[in-house]
Amino acid sequence: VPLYFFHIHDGSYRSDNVGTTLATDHEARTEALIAAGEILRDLGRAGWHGIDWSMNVVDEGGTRICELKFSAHCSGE
Amino acid sequence: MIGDNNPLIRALARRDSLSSDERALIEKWRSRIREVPEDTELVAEGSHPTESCLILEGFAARCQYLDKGKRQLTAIHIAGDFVDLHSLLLKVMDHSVITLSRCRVALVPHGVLRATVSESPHLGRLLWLSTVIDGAIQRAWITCMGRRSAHAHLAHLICELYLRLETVGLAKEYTFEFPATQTEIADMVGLSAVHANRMVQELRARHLITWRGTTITIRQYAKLAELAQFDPTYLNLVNEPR
Repeated sequence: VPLYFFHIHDGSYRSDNVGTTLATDHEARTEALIAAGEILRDLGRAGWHGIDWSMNVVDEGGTRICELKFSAHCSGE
Repeated sequence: MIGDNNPLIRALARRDSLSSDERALIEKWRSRIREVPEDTELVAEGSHPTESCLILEGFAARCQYLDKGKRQLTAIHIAGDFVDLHSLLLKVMDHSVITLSRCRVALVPHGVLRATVSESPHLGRLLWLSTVIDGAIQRAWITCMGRRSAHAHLAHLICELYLRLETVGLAKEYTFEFPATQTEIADMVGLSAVHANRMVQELRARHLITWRGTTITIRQYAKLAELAQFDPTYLNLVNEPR
């Protein structure tokens, strides 16, 4: 079963050294979107702060499968 | 005393005093033993069980299936838990019970349970207590799932498992076995495997736990419980007349 790594930038780089097994690239992209939603929900629970957030999904060979980006800034920033 | 190596007796004796007659009655439930491999359905959704299944060794989970292979594990059961005591009254199962590890279980015919409840109303109340505690655990899980952040939720689950396993003598020095896979843990906390894995790494990185293979050690219980806002009242670990 293929292993995928979900690396995150949220001001600092959080490398995924463990990975998650998923059946296909398509499943890895879907999982990335769901995980991103969960991570943003937790960020919101910690209180408002401006963020530039991104997730890079790569397979075991290092090929990029997808990139997700999110930013939140006060008006006027 | 009789049954000190019986996990159900240990779990009940933590919450109330049991007479030797009551202990002897519970001991009789261990007459039909079955060994079940891991990842096996113990009780099927839609079935109409005529006996209830008491776990003597191993781990099981209640499970509800959705489409496309998705599922939610709604409860974890450990040694000393009746996984389907409610089937005595509900008749038809609205969920399945699966093994997470190899299990040793005792099958107790519903007729025997009915006779026990007639003979000993006190044991009847204690069986009722065990389903009431199952309900209390479900409430705690719903709150975790709906309102806690993922790392607090995972910390809560680890605190709960530790106290429940310690009650039946299966945790020592904050260390216990928990043979669940990445996917099973994600299905327990209702999160993607990716986020659930990240939270395990985070609890490790904060030096709150170590998790090697199937062995979990809580390194700083007070800090883990604080992070989880864990209040063990719902587990009813108090010995009083019931």
